Amino acid sequence: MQAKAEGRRIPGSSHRLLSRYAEHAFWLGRYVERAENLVRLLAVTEGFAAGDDDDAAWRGVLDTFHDRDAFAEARPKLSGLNVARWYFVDRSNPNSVISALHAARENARALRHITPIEAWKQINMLYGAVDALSARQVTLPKLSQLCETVRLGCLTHQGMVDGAWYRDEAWLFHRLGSELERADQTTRLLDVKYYQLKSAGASEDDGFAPPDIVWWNSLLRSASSYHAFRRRHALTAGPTEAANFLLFDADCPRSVKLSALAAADRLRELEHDYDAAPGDPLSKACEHLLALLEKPGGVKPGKGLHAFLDEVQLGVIGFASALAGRYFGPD
Amino acid sequence: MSGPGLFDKYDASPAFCEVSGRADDPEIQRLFYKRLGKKTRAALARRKKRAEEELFNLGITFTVYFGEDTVDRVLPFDVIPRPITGSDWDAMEAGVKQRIAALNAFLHDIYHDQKILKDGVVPADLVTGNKYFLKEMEGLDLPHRNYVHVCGTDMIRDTDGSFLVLEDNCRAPSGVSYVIENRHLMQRSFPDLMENARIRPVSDYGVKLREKLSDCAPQGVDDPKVVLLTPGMFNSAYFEHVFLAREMGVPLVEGRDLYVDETDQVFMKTVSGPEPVHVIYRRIDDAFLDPEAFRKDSMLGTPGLMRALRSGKVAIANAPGTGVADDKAVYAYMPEIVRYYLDEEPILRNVDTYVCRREEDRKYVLDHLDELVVKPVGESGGYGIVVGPKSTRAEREEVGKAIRRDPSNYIAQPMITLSACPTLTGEGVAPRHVDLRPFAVTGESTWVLPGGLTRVAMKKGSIIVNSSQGGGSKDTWVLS
Repeated sequence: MQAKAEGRRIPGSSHRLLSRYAEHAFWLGRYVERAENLVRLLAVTEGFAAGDDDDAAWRGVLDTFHDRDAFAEARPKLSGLNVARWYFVDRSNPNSVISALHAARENARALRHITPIEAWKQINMLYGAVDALSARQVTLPKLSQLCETVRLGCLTHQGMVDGAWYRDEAWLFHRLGSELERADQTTRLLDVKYYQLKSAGASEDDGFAPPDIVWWNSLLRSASSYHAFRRRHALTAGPTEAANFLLFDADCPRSVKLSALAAADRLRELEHDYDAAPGDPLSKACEHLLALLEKPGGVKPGKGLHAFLDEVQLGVIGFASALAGRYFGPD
Repeated sequence: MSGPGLFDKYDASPAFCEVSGRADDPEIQRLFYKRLGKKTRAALARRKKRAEEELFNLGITFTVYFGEDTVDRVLPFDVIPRPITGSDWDAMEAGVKQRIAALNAFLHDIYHDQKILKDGVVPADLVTGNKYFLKEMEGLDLPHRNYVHVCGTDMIRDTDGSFLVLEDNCRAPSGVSYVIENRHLMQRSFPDLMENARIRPVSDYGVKLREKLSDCAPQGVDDPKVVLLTPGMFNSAYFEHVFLAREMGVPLVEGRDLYVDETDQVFMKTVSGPEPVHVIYRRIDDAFLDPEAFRKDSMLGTPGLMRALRSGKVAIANAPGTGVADDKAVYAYMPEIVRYYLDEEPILRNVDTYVCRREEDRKYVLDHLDELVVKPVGESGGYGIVVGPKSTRAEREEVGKAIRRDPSNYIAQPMITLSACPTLTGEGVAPRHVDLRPFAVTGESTWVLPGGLTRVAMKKGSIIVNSSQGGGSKDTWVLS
C-alpha cells in the first residue's frame, strides 16, 4: 500500500514530537500500567495468603521485585499488613502504588498540553484519592476493595488514552510504555509462585511445580484472563497451560507475547508515519524480545519457567534502554 | 427596580458599582436582576463549591510555596460575573490599542535614535539606567517594530465610572487562561443564566495569539513554527503555559529542548530529528533567556537565543528589553509618550502619579503619606505597597525613610475608590472591589480579547486584588 508515504501524518504547520515529551508519554504509560499490575498482584496475594502471618505468601511479593532488603530496612516486621501498606501507600518505596501514581501524574502534568483534558483530570483525581489515604486506612480486609479502585482507575486511564487521545507520536510512546511495562509485570506475576515456594523452603529441582490449580486459576483471574483461558483450553488444563497462556497466547491482552508484538507495531508506525526510524540497536532489541517469545513447546512451571522469565525481563530492559537511547536523549 | 431577590439589600456606595451603576442597560437588567437576582444564596453557594472543586480536579491551580512545602491552590472563583456594556468596552478597547501603539513606538525609539530622551520628554537616565534596559537590543530592527506582542493593561474604575490605567504589563502578563476557563466554568455552572445572553465570546484567544505571533516570523518563512517557552512545571504559572500551548496548538518547550546552531538558527529536538523554530513566545524573564548573553548560571534558557534574534532568524515575544516600558516610573510619562509619538490625546487616563525622584513630587508624597498609595517601582504582585489611609504610623515612617533613601524606587498615587461588583460572600451578596486586565495581542495589528481578567478583593473593603494576596476572580461579560 502506498498510503504510508514519508511524513504522511505531518501537514504543514504541525510539529513533530519533542523528545522530552516522548519520554514523558512513555513513562506515563509505564507508571499507570505498573500501578495496575501492582494492585493485581497484591489482590491475588491477599486472596491466597492464609492471613497476616503467611510469611511465604507475602515474602513472595518482596522477592518478585527484589525488595527484601529495602523492606527490611523500612519495616521492622514481615507481615501481610506491613507488606500491603509498604506497597500501597509508602512513598519511601519507589515500587509502591502511590509512588507509581505520583510519577504517572507528574509525567501527565508535563504532557498536559497534548493530552486530552479528561485524561489529565482523571489521573489527577486518581492520584488525589490514593494520596488522601493514610496508612491506617489500608487494612487487609479492605485491601481488595482499594486494589479494585486503583485497578479501575488505571483501566479508565487506558480507556481514555484509547478513546480520546489523538493518535500522534505521543500516543505511540504512551502505548510503548504500557506494553513494555505490561510484558515486564506479567512475567513478575508469573514468577510469584516460584518465589513463594522457594521461600517456603521447597527444593529447587527443575520441574518442581505442585499442581496448585486453584492458585493458578486465581492468577488467571487477577490477569483478567480466566474466562478466555477456559474458552481456549480443556477443563483438564493446569499450571503449564496457564503459564503458557499468559506468556505466549497472542490474543490474550495481558500476555507477554501480545505486548511485545504491539510494541513492535508501534515502532513500525513511528517509522512509517513519522519518519522516526528505530535504528539498528532498537530494531535488534525488539527482534530479540520477539524471538524469545517464539518457544514452540512452551515452558513448564518450576525453575525452568523462572529462568525463562528472567531472560524475558532482560529482553524488556534491553528494549527499553535502546528505545531511550534512540528517542529520548538526542543531542 | 427589581423583585425580591439577591440584590435587594445591595449597596456599593461610594464606589461605582459594575452592575447597579449601569442598571439602565436593558441587558444588565435582564441578566442580573431578572435572572440571577431570583436565585437563592444557597444555590449560588452550591454552584460556587462545585465550580471550585472542578478547578481543583482539573489542576487549574497556582502553586504556593511555604518553605519546603508546596501547595496547589485554586484561585477563588466568584460566581457572579462582572458585566461591561458594549459602548464602555469599545471606548476602552480603542484606548488600549492606542496605548500599545505608543508603547511600541517608544521601545523602538529608545533602542534606536532615542529622540524622546534627546527632546527631554522622558528623563534619559530613567530609561538607559533602568535595569530592564538591554544594550543587546540597541539598533535591532524587529518585524512591524513590534516589541509588546502580548499586553495586559491593568485598569480600574473611578467613582464616576471612568476607566483609569493602573499599570501596563509588557513582559509576561499572566491570567488570560483564567479569563477563558472562568467562562467555561460559568457555562457549565450557569447554563440557565447565560442562555440567549449576548456575551462576546473569548474562546478564540489562542487562535488570535498564534496568528499575531506568526505575523512576526522572520521574513521568507511561509509556515512559521511557533513554540511557547516555559521555565517548567514548577513555575507558578505553569497551568497558563499549558493552556496557551494547547489553545495555540504549539509545543510547550523548555530551554533544554532547544538549541541554536552555528548559523544562528534555532531548532528543537524531536523524535524525528531537529526541527527549526521561528517564533518563541517566552514566559521566562530576560535574565534567564540566554546564558550566553545574560545570566551564565541560568539553566532555564537556551544559549544563543539572542544571537538568533540579532540575526533575524527568530522572533521572541515579548521582545527582550520591553521591561523598560512597564516600569512604574515610566508609566507616569505615558500620557506624554502617547502625545509625542501619535500626536493624539490619550483615550485612557493614568492615575495621577507622583514620581519620587522629582523633588517637588517627593516633598508632596512625604507630606501626604496618609493619603497616598506608595508603590515600589521594581516590585510586582502587590508586594511592598503601602496604602496610606489604612496604614499605621510606624508603616508610614518606615516607607518615608525608604523613599528618602532610594527615591527613584518609589511612586505614589492618590487612593482611588475602586469600583465594586456584587460578589458572593459569607454575608450574602455584597460589594467587593475589582480591577480589570484586558489582554491584547499585536502582530501586524492589535486585537483585544473582549473580556479580560476581573480580579476581586475577597476581603471587605480591601483594594488589593492580587492572587498572591488572597484575591479571587470572576467571569467578565462584555455585552454586545
